[in-house]
Amino acid sequence: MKEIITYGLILMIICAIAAGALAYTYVQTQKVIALQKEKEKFNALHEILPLAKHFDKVDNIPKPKDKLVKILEIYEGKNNNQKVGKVIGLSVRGYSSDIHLFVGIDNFGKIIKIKVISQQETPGLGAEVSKDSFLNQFIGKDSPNIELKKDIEPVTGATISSRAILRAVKEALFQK
Amino acid sequence: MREFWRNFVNGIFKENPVLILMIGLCSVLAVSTNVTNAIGMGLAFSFVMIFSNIFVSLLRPITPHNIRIPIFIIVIGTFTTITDLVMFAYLPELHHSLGIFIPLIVVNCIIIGRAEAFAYRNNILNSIADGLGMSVGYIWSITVLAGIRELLGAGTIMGIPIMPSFFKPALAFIMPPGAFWGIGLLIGILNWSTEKIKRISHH
Repeated sequence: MKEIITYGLILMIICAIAAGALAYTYVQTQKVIALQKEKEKFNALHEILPLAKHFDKVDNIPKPKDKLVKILEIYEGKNNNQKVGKVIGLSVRGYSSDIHLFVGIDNFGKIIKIKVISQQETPGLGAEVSKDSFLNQFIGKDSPNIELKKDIEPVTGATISSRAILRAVKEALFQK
Repeated sequence: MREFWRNFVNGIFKENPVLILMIGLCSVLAVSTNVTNAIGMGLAFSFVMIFSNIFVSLLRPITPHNIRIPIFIIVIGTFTTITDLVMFAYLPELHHSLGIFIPLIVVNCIIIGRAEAFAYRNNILNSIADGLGMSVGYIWSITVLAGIRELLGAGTIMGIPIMPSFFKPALAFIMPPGAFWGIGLLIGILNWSTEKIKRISHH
């Protein structure tokens, strides 16, 4: 009985110290992480629509046609109150993770740029879909009638991840 | 000082965690697809390894034998989470690519193995030496393995093209089989050369 109480106390003290250290690190890093995320988002949006000076978030987000794709957010890029394009943030199930990407569409409904914001696909394989060499193939497309292998060369060894990106881009073109 | 040195060197070849003890292989095999990730994982691992050794050794006087494992796990878990948070805040790029492997350090057998086999039985200085040695052993093994895989599987080292243009990368080296071939090769080379050295010094 006495043993159990001693063990419990020792464990409690160690856990309390560990929790304190973790809480301190969490509070300290959380500010930096939040800032980082905000900055990263603006940088990503800016990279997609370089002409836009600021971005307005669209409030009512339409329902996606493709059930496997989620539309997370839509931003309208503006330059002196003039619309210069749209950025659609989508999430789609890839091979081993949810791929989160931004699709930039100009006023004429053409894709200007695609950027993968986060993914945890297989490094060296599925993760290659976040590279420009793959994504730039979509630039200029304006109709959702695009097919893998015919219009878009998939990443070797990563058909599922490539198809996931294609799905998301098609959805973005439906919504333009 | 001599003892410190001996404990440090021990982890690099003689008891190399990856190639000789062969523990904690899952993260090694998974992360070693390119050199950049391998070095990042090695550094994250080293931080947790050294600090967990220090604290396990420090807590020795108040660690009852019967509940030592939960205490090790609390120590390791705490440092892994700290690494995860700090990396997310200050090295977001690296955090992106290491993502899921950082939390896996918690269950990395090397760290808990060294806590149990070494830090729990030795003083702080020797535990630091052991942690450093194990870290160096881990880093060189995972980096060399990643070097082989990246060079043969993608023709690059740290993203820089190295191989001549006629070289066609063998994708299999980036994929899981490549990890097993690579690690088998390394284990073989290391055992063969230690055997050779032993024989030469014997004569």
